[in-house]
Amino acid sequence: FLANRYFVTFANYVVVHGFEHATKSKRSDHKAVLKQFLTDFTSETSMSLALYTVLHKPIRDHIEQYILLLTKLHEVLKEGSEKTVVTSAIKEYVKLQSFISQVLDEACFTKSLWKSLGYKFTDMLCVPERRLLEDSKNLPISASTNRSDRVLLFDDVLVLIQGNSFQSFDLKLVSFLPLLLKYLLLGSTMLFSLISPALLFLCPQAVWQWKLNQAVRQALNGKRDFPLWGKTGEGTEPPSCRFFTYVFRLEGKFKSASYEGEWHWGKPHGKGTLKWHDGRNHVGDFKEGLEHGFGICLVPRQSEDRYDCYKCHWYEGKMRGYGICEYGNDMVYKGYFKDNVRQGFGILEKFSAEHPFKYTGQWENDKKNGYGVWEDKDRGERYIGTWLDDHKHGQGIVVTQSGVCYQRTFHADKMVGSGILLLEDDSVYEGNFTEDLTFVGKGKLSFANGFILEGTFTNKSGQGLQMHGTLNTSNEQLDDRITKAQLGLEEFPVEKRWKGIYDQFLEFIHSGCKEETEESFTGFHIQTSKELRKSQEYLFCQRYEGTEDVSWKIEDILEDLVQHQGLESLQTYLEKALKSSLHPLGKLLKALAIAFQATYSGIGANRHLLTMAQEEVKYYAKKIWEFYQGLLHLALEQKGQLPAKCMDGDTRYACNVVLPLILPCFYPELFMLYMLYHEREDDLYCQGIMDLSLFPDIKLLEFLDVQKCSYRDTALSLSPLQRQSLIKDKCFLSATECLQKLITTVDPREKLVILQKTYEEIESTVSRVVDKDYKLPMDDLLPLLMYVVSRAKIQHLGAEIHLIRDLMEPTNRGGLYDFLLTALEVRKCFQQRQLQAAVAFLE
Amino acid sequence: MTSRGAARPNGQSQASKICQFKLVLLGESAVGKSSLVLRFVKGQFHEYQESTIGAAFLTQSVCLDDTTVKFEIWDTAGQERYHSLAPMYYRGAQAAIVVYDITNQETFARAKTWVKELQRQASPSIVIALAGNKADLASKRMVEYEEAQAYADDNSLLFMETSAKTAMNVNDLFLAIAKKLPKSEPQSTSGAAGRSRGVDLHEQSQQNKSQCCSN
Repeated sequence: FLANRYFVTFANYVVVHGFEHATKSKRSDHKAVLKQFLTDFTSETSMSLALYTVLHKPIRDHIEQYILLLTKLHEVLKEGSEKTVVTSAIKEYVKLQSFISQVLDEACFTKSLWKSLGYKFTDMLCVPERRLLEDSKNLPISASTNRSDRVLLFDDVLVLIQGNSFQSFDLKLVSFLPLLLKYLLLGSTMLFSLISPALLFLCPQAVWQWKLNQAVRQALNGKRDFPLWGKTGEGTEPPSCRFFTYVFRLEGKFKSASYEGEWHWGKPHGKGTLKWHDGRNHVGDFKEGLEHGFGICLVPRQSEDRYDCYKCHWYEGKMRGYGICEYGNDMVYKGYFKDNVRQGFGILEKFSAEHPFKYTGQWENDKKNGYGVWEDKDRGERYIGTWLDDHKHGQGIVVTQSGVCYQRTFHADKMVGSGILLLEDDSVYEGNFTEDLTFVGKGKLSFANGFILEGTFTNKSGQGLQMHGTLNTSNEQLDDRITKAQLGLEEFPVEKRWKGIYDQFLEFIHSGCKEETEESFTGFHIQTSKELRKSQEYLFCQRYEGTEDVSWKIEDILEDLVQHQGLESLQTYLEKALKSSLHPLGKLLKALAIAFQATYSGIGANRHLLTMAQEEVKYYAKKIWEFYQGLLHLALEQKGQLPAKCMDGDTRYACNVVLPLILPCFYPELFMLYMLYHEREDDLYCQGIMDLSLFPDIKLLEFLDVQKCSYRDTALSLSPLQRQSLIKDKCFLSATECLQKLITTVDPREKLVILQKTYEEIESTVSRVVDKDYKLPMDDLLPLLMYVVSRAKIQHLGAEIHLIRDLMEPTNRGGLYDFLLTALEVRKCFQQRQLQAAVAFLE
Repeated sequence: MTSRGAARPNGQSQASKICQFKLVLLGESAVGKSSLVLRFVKGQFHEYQESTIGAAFLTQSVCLDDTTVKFEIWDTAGQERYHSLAPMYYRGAQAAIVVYDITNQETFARAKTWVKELQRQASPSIVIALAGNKADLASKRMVEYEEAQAYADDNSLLFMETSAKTAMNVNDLFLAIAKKLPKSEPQSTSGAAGRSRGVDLHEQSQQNKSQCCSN
C-alpha cells in the first residue's frame, strides 16, 4: 500500500510536470504547424498531423492508462487515507485529461479561424498565444446583425470585423466598450455605427455577454480558467473598477492623452493621472470620464520652460470651487474658480522682485471685478475700491505709505472728477489733484489750524505750485468731521464687501454640506504652498487625519451642533470651531481675517478707515452667526427635527457670542486704527500723566481734592493720617494693577469686567481705610479714579474706551457698563490746560 | 438667587412691560445728590439690588399700573474740575434731577445753570426735575420754596423739596418722573434693551439665557 501510495504521488508529480512540458511542446508544435500553414499552404497536412499526433497522443494514452490503473486501485483499496489520496489523484488525472482536450480543441478552433480569415487579418491578429473563444459566425450575437459584421472573442482581445477593416479592443478595457464606441462615433468613424452597446451587452444572446465577461475577467487575472468557462454559476462578474493604463487615441477632450488609473464602467473614475505629450498632466480624482474632485494640473507655459500649477477642485471636467494656482510667472492665485476661470473671491499675489503686488477681492470671468483691494508694493500704495475688467473703476480709496489718503472716482484706471485728499497733518484738500498728489485746478485746502485756502491751483514744471484764490484766516477750529473724516462708508456698504466669501459658504450649506464638497466651498485647511507641494502624497492619502483630536467631518460637525445648543456649551463649541482650521466656521473666519488684513494692515492702517473696519468686524460676527444658524438648521433638518424658530434677537447673539470670539483675529489691526484715530487726544492725555507722574502720591491725592471729601451727609473725611496710610500701604495699587489688565485683554466684555473690578477695588480700599462700608458718590469716586488712571498709565486709554464702546453690546447703553466707560473719560481732565497750571502750582 | 431671577425683567410675564430709563443727577458738590439716590434705592424697595458702583451708579424700579419703570441712575461729580465731563453723562439721558441745597443759595444758582445747560444741550425730550434737598433743615433755609417753584414753573420742571434724611418726597419725586416719562416711545429702544439685558453674558443671567437658547 505504501509503495502504491508513493508511486501515485510520484506519478502525480511526474505527470503534472509532464503536462506542463506537454503543454509547452504542444504550443511550440502548434506554432510550427501554424507557421507552416501560413508560410506554405501546399505542404503536406498529413505530416503535420502526424507530428501533432505523435507529440500528444502518447501522453494522452498514458494518462488514460493511469486513470484506468488508479480506478482499479481505487476499487481495491479500503476506506482510509490511501483511498482519499487515490481519489484525488484520479480527479487530477481526469482534470488533466479534459484540460488537454480543451487546449487542443481551442488550438484547432483557432487554427481553423486563421485558416478561414484572409491574410489581411491574420497578419495583424495572428499571435501564437492567442486563442479564439467565440466567433459570431458560430454563435450569432443577434438575429438582426448584419451578416458582414463579425465579432471574434479571443482570450485577450475582442475583434470587430466589418467588411475589410477591423478594430480590436483590449479585453482589459472591454467592459467600457460602449463608451469607447461612443468616442469612436464622435470621432467621425462611422465604421462601427452598427454596433451599438445594446448589441454587445444587451443582446438576447446572454451567452455572449456572459462569455465576454468571463473572458474579460480572465484576461484581467492574467490566467485562464480551467475548465474553460469555469463551473456553471461560479463565474464571477469582472470587477467594475480596475486600474489600468490606456492611451486615448480618439478625438475629444483627452485626445492623445494617456490615462493611468482607476476605471469604472469604461471611464476614468477614481484616482488617476492623465498625461499629454505637451507636458500637460493632471493628477487627481476622476468621475465618469471627467476630472471631478481634487486635482493637480500642470500646464506648461508657451514661451518659457515653466508650468502653471493648478491645485484645485474640478467639477465635471472644469475647475470649480476653491483652488490654488501657482502660475509660472511668479504669481499665485488662491481663491475660487468656476468653469475654468477665476470667479468669486480670490487673492492674486506676485512675489517677484519686479512689480510685486497683491490683489484681494472679487473676480468675475477671470478678471478683477467688483470690490477688491490692490496693494502695489513698489509704490507703497493700497487701492480699496471697485474694479471692472481688471481696471480700477468706480469709487476708490487710496492709502499711501506716508499716511496720506484720498478718495476718488476712477474710470479705467484714471482718476476723474474731484476728490478728497486727507493729509497726514490733518489738513484736507477737496478738489482735483494728480496721481503724484499735486493740486490742479479748482480746490479747497483746509489747514489744521483753521485756515482755508480756496482757489485755482496750477502746477507748471519748474515753477512750483501756484494758486489764485483767497486765504480765509478766520481761524475757526476745523470740524472733527473733516479731520477725522471716515471714508468708504457709503461707497462700499459693508454688506457688499467680501460677498464672494460669504456666498461660497452659504452655498455650501444650501448644497447640503456634503463632505466631499466641503473643501471646494470652504477652501483647503492647508494653505501654504509648501505643504501643498507635497501634493502627490497629499492627494492619495487620507486628508482628514488632522492633528486635532476632534473629528471635523461634516457629519460629526452637524451632530455636534445639535448637541451644543445651550448657551454655555454653544460658546465653548463655537470657540473651538472658530479656532479650528478644519471646521467650516473656522475656515470662514480665517478667510475673513485674510481679507481684513489685506485691507487694514500695514499701510491700510489709516485713521480714516476706522469706521469701515469697525463696521466690517461687526458684520463678520453677524455673518458667522448666520452661517452657524444655517448649519444648525441643516443639522436639525437632517435629523428630522423641526428647527426651532429663530429668535428675533439674532443680531444680539452675533454681538454677544460671536463677536468676542472672533475679535482676537482682528484686534491688532482694529486697535491700531483706534490708536491712530485717537492719537492726538491720547498724546495729550499721556503728557498730562507724565506731568503728574513726577509728583509723589500724597501731593497728587491732595491736588485731586481727595482730602476734601468730607461732607456732612456722606462723611468721608480722611484724616491726614488716613491719607498717609493710603499712600504708605499702597492702597490703590490693587486698583491700579487691575486697571492695567485692560491692555492685555481683547474681549470688550472682559475689559468691562476689569473696569468693574477696578471700581470695586477702589471702593473696598476706601471702606477699609475709613473702617466702614462706604458707598462712594461720584464726588469722591472721580478724584480717586483720576488718581488710579494717572498711576495706571495706560497709553492708549482713549482708543481703549472707544473700542470697548463701539464693540460692546448696544443694549448696554445707559447701563452699568456704559457708566463705567463714561467715568473713565476722566482721562480728558488730563488734557486740560488747567491741569498743567495746577501742576505748575504744585511745584 | 432664585428670587432675583424671578424679579428680572426677563422672567416677568409679558403683561407688564418694562421701560428702562437713564436718569442723571446733577448739582453742586455736597448738595446730597447721592444721599437722595441711596434713600430712593434702599428705602422702600427691598428687591434684589443690582450691581452698583458705590453711590455713583444705581438702578431701581418703580411700578406704575402695568408698567415697570426701571431707572438707571447716573451720579455726576459736582466739582467744577469735572464740569467738562458732564455732557458725556447726560448724553442719552431721558431724565435728569437737578439737586440744590435749600440752605445754600449758591447751589440754587448753580442748579439754574445746570437746567440751562440741559435745556440747551441734552435731548429735547428730557424730563427735568428740580429737587431742593435738605428740607429737614428748614431753619437754615436760604432758598424760598416759592422762588424755586416759580422758577420750575417757568421752565416746566418738576419740582419738589426733598429730604434724604427723612425720606420726605424722595419716592414721590421719582414716581412723578416715572409718570411723566413717555412709556410708549422707549418700548422700541429701551424695551428691546430690557429684554436683552437678561442676555448679558453675566454669570448671574447665565441660567435664564441657556433656557431661552435651548427653546
